[in-house]
Order: sequence, then C-alpha cells, then structure tokens
Amino acid sequence: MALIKGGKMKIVKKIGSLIAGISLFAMTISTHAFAKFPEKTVEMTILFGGTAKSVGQLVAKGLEKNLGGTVVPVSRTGGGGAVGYKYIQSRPASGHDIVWNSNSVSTSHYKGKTKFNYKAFEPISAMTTEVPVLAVKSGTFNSVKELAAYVKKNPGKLKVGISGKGSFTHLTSAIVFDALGGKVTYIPYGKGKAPAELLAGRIDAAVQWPGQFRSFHKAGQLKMLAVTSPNRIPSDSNIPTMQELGYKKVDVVMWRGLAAKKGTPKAQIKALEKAAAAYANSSEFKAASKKIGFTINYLNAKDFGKKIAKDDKKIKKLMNKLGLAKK
Amino acid sequence: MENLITALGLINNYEVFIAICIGSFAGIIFGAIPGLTYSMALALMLPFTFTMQPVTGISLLLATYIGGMTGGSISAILIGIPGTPSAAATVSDGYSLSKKGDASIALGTAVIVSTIGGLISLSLMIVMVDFISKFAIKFGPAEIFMLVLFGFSTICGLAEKSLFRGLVAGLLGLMLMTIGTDEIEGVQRFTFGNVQMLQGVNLLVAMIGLFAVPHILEVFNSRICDEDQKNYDIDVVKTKLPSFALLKKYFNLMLRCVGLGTSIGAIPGSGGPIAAFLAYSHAKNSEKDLKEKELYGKGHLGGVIAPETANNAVTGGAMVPLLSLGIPGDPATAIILGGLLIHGLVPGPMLFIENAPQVYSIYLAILLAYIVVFLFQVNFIKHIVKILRVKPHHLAVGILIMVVVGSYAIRNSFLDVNVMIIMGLIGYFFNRIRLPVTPIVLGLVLGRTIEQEYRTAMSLSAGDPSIFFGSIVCVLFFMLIILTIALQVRKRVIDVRNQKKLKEVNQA
Amino acid sequence: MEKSKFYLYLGLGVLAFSIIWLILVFFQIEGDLGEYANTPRTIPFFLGICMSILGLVFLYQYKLGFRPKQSVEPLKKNEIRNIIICVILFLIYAYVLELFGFILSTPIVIYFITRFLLKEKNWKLNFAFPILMTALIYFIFIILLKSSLPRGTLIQII
Repeated sequence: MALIKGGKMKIVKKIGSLIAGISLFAMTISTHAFAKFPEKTVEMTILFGGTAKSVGQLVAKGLEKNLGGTVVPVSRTGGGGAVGYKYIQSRPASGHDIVWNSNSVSTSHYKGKTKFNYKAFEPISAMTTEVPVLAVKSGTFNSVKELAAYVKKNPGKLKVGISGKGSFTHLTSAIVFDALGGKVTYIPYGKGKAPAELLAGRIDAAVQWPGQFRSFHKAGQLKMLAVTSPNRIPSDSNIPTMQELGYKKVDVVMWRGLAAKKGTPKAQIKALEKAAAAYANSSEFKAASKKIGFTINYLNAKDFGKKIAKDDKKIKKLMNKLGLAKK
Repeated sequence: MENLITALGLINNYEVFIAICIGSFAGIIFGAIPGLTYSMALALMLPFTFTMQPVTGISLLLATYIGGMTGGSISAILIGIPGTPSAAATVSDGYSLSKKGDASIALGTAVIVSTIGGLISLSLMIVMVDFISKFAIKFGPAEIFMLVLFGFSTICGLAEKSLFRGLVAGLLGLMLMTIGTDEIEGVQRFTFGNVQMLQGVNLLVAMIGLFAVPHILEVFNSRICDEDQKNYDIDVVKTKLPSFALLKKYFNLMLRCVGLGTSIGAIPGSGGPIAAFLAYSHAKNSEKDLKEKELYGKGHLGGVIAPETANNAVTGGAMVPLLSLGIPGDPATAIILGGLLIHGLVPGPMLFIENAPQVYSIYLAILLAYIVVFLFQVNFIKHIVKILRVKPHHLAVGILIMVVVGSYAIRNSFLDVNVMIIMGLIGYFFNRIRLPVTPIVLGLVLGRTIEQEYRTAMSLSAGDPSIFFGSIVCVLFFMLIILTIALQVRKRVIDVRNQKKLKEVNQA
Repeated sequence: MEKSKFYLYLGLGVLAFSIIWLILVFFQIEGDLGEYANTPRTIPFFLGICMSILGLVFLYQYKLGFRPKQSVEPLKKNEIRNIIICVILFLIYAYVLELFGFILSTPIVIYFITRFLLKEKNWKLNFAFPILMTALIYFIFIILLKSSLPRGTLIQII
C-alpha cells in the first residue's frame, strides 16, 4: 500500500488494531462450543442445476423448519458433482456442511475426478428417487419387444440419444440395451434436447427423465415405452416397468439424499436424519413431488448407506465395461 | 388464450412490477451515463436473479435491456456523447437540436419513437418467433452449427473495424470456453488437475469481468493519478412530446426503420449500433426535399427519429433467434439467455410447447417495460439527468461492490472471483491495444453450441463431414458465410489499395 | 516515416499464445485422437491452429509495413501500479465478504476505498456514502426482490 505514507501511519495503526479486534471477536464467536446443534447456519451444497436444484432448495427449507436452525442451499456446480464433493471434504466434519448428493458420488470417482469415493461421506438419509424412462417417436416402435427385435436384427444401427458420455442417462441406456441384447450407437447431444431430436427423427430412442417427455406422450407425438425402476412411478402409473416386460435385470433409479463428511459426530447425523424424516413425511413435500415430478423414497441413514454401497458396485462394473472408468 | 391468462396471472404480482421498475430505472441510468453500458447493467444484475422467481428475474433483465436501449439517447442529445454505442448515430442531429435550444422536443421525440419502434418490433417478433420455431424443429445439429458459424462470421466481420483483430478476440473467446469439463465425453480439459477448474469459465463471470472491470480500472487509475474525470453539469430539462401531426409526418420513415432494425437485430452478431447507423443514412438518403436533406447533421428531427426507432426495434429482432433457436445475437441477449437458463427455460422450439405461459409472460413483461420506461422518461427526466452529475469514481465504487458480490454469488466460488479479475485484465488490455472485446463475449456465448453441435453432427454421421452440406438450409448458411467473408476481404483489399495510393501521393 | 512495431508485437504475442495452447492441448486433454475428427481434442486443436495462422498474418502485415489506424496510447505514469492496487482490492473485498458477509464488510471496504484510495475529502460523504450504498443494494435485492447476498462464515448477520 504505497499510497498511505508518512503522516497517515497513525491512522493505519489504528485501523490495524481495529481489524485485529474484529477478527478476534469473530474467532471467539466461531470457536465457542455450543452444546446445541446446529450452532450456526447449516450449508447445504447443491451439485447440479435443474430438478436437483429445485428439489434441493425445497429440502433445505424443510430441514430448516424441522431442525430449528437456518439451512441455506448453496450451489457449487461443476465437474459432474466433483467440485461440490471436494468442497465438503475441505470443510470440518461438524455437520454444518451437508451435501445434496446422488449417484454422482460414484460416477465422479470412477471417472477419476475425485480421489475419494462414497466412503468419505457419512450418509444421513435418502429423500427422493427419479426414474429414467425409455421413449421413442410414435409410430416407430410400439413396444419394447419390437425395439428388442429390431436391435437384435440390426446391431449398431439404432441411434440412442444420451446427455453425454458417462452421464447417468448413458449408464441407464447401457443397462437397458444390454438387457434387450443388442448393440446400439450412442449420440451425445446437449441437455434437454431429447424430445426435439426424437420428433425430428434424428435419433431413434432416448432414455431420459419422464418430465421431458410427458407432454409429448399425452399429445401422442412420442411414446414412453417403459420405466427402469422395479416399481411403477406414481406420476406416470400407466407406463410399465422393464421388469414387468420380462427384463428382470433392469433396476436403475437415480437417488438423491443427504450426506455429510465422514467423521461427523453421531448426534449431529441423528438430528439431521430426524429433521429429514419429518420433512419426507410432510404433506408439503408430497404436494411438491407431484408438481415437480419426483418420487419420495425416504431411507434412514443405515439403509441409505447400504443402498449407496450396492449402487457403487453396480456403477463400477458398468463403467469398466463401457470403458469409461479411468484406470 | 388459456396461456395468455396463465401468463397474466404470473405477471400480476407486485414483485414483478417492482422488478420491471427497478430494471427500467437501472437500464436508463446505465444507458445514459457514458462509459457504462446496459450490457454491464445486465451482467451486474444477473447473479441476483438466481434466487428470484423465474418471471421476476427475467422481467428484471428484460426491463434493464429496454431501459438501456432507450436511455442511451439522453446523453447523446444533451451532451453529445452517446450513453451506449447504439445511440452514437443519434448524436449528430440530437446534439445539434439541443444546442439550438430544442432539447426538450428532441428528448420527447426520442422517447416516443423508441417506444413505438419497440412495440411494433415486439409484435413483429411474436409472429416471427412463432413461425421460426415451428420451422426450427427441423434444424438438426448440422444446421445449427452452420447457423452459429454464420453468426460468428458476421460478428468478427461486420461488427468490428478489422476482420483479423475481431477474429483474434473471437477465437480467444472460443478457446476460453473449452476450459473445464467437456460435456460430451466428460473429459477434463486444461484443468491442470485442479478440481475447482472443472467448473470451467462461467460465461456470466466472464461477462461481468469484461464489461465492468475495465471501467472500474480506468476510473480508479485516473482518479489516483489525480486526473479527475469530468462529470457533466446539465441544466434543468423537460421532456416535451411531439405533436401528433409531426409523428404522422414521420410515420412512414418509422415503419421502415422498424423493419430495418428488427431484421438486423435478428442476425446473430450484428446489433444496435449497425442498425442505428444504417437507419440514419437511410433516412438521410430517402429524404427527397433537398433543403431538408441539407439539414441532416445540423439538427433535423428525422436524424433522431430514424436511429432511435431502429435501435429499439433491434430489441425485438434480437429476441427472435434467442427464443426460437436459443442463439443470442449480442452480449445483452446472451446475458438474458443466461437468465432464462438459470430458471430452467431452455430456448428453442420446445420452449413454446413446454413453457408457453412463461413465453407469454416474457412478451407481457416487454410490453410493460416499454410503458414503464416511457413514463419514467417523460415524467422523471429532470431527476434522471441529475445522476449524470454523480462523480464517476463514486459510481465505480458501487460497481466494484456489485462486481465482486455478483461473481462470488453465482457459484460461491473464489475461483470465479479470480476468473472475473483475469477477464477484467484481459478486457482492459484489449481496450488499451484497441482490440475489440465484443467478439470475446460472443465466442464465449457461442463456443459451447458450436462445439456440441459439431460433435453431435459428427457422431450422427459416423464421422462423415458431408453432413454439413446435407441440406438446403446448411448450404444456404454456408453461402452466407462465404459471402460475409468475401465482402470483408474485398473491403480490406480496397483499404490497402487506398493506403498505398495515399502513400504514393505523399511521396510524390 | 518510422515503421510501426504494433503488428510485430501483436503477431509475436498471438503466435506465442497459440503455441503454448497447442502444447497444452496435448498435455492437458486426455484421450486419443480418435477415428474421426470428433474427440475432446478436436476443437481446441483446430482453434490453436487458427490462432497461429492469425499470428502469421499479423507478422506478414508488419512486413508489408501496415500501421494501425489508431495508435496505442503510451502507458500512463503509475498505471501498472494502480491496476495492481485495484486487483488486490478486489481480492481483499472478496475475502472479507466470505468471512464477514455482505452487511458488515461492504461499508468498511467502501469507506477505505473512498477515504484513502480515492482521497475523498468531504467527511460527511465519507460516512454517508458507504452506509447508503450498502443500504441501497440491500434494500433493492433483499427486501424488494427477495434475492440473497453472501453471508459470512465467521459472523452471520441477516
């Protein structure tokens, strides 16, 4: 600061002591241990935009109501979730930094974006699931069977749209067409373009979130063939599941839930879990699920942990098979 | 009709109204103050729209855009310095008029023709958007790639003085956009193994840096060097609306200028300044009365009407490719695109099917914004002009606050603050060596689209590049690209020849 | 007439940048070049080549003796120092913002800027301006438009 010279030194000193005073005051506030949780604002890191963000914001509001402290949703997007996960790992494990996580904890690890895997996080509770759906243009294929027959006959000819290589829709598509028993060509395109590309006939099939297809399905322009979850989804209960159609192996859902850094004290996890459970059962959340189009699927910390571990194994196998995993 | 009613419901909300008022006011002020542009106002506002309701946030942005387009004429007329580049064509006649003591009528005419121009282009836009979006569903990746490439060639050519300098800036913009995660394969690019770098260069952060930071640096620099930048002292002014007969006389000219402005606005990469200058020369050349023609440049009302109508008509035109294809034509619409995307409204043919009420509420917001801007300018011009007296460095401090808060708040990331500073330094450096900055922004804006559409097209055709010439639309755009470049090269060659001649004359 | 060196420096600068970029393309992007011209490397590589061609064009223009239409202003006294001060200011404000949040840090930072950096003498203005500015932004964005501004990690008001 070459600007402040000579006679102004006094003022500088005064200011210096003032700053020191303020920061000391701040330190005492932040380090003072309160018995109560949460002792300050809980920050909920959100990893993606779109539905993930809007549901995440709702959950943060719901937690706030049931936790008795402020919960702020903060978006830290980028790198398929890696940026946000890394941020959580850089924070102290006090329960004041939680993450609105998803299967991306596994995909970003196996893609080599994060060095840590799901074990670096303490599960709190699963909240929602979103189920991808297989759709085609009306009049091309009427059922999954027809599609399967075509794929078997013409390997590599069917063009399947995915959001990007290694994205969740890519993995789901791989599982679906693996079950159908044929090779297809994947076309990566921009996000949210599936309906337009299907309608124009540039791609033949796409696996995407049902919200994108619903209005076209109702208008008869596109046809949703099957959902990939073991049970039918409430928002589109007339669409059969792949398992009903005889493809028993297909069981893919995208879960979203809450997690904190490994080593967060049990009491804090319990408090958060309780608040999450209360919100998951509220009528408010149920109304939102209908409006936005996701399924509420609450799991407690223990079951959630098991689910993450199970899915992690599945994703690892799949990504190795597709050659997406980084060695 | 049903959609219109839903849209009315969405917009009938006091927050939306406040947003439109604030946006219009901020737009007029940023437009009126030389050195600040409405693109800067938009870039500063955008981060705060994240947590607003979608319609509120988008109304705020649209009102800022419209207010800025209109506000530029205030300083052009009163002090002879264009508040925004789009108002540059208004200066010669507007300022002459106010020197003659006719400032009130010049301001009044500028306001009313801006509003009329904007509203007519809004209705043109609604028709065109509907038509193009129906047509656009047939646009595949190859077609969109060619269209964007065409837009890019116009940006680097038409918009700037030198093709090569424009290209350097444009390429730099495209390069910056490749940093981070590649969306198609999910591969890391230029991250140096840093996880934070995976998020790449955020377009909004880059725009804040490019538009706002150089201004702050300039003002602070001259202030520290004790060269106070002058602030403008202006007498009390009033707005006097022109008579109906006068408007009727120029109505034909206005219509032509609206057509011109709307169509120029619809070409990606052109924009306000070009439309305004073309309209000005059109008005001058189409004037049959020789006596009247003499008056152009010396204070002719037609010289205010033509550019002001045209630059506001650009707003409607620029929304056409934005809403129907998702391709922004200039930095301002690029920021509005950012605002739409934040709230999950993805422009393109699907927008009209999936989010019809929101689209209608956008139309209504534009309409409302024009009315509010009009009322502000007519009733509060006295107070608005006072803002011009505020010292530049005080405004710069305010902008500094918005810049840092905004770039930090977008993703709560310190990396973004650093990126903002780096982009600001690039912008400052480019200004100093007189390289254009706008192409960087357009490179950033169009970069993702260009790469994605190229690669999707190539995967669709299994690596056969002939897909880019596979349809009439593609070939048409290709020919347009060749034409734009050829025109540029021709102009350049003529320039060189003239320079040589000049040299020979000098030597002789 | 002296030859203008502008295009020489510009050309060399652009060329150097493009060479660094091309090297980075091969070191910083993984993956093979692929069967088709369609990999994460394709576009960056192409851009790098275009940039280097532009660099050569500028050098050629220099050789032909082109001069820029508008000459570049020379550096002002202390310009670089002033810019570095501004950059540090940005960083300090961002850091303080993260620690103390918007409401606390903004008036303090504005006060320091106007008082010491911009040497504003009017003391009334020095106190009123920071507080009014903060209040204005807070009022517009939080109260009227219901947006949110950064809260501090150390001290939390709002």
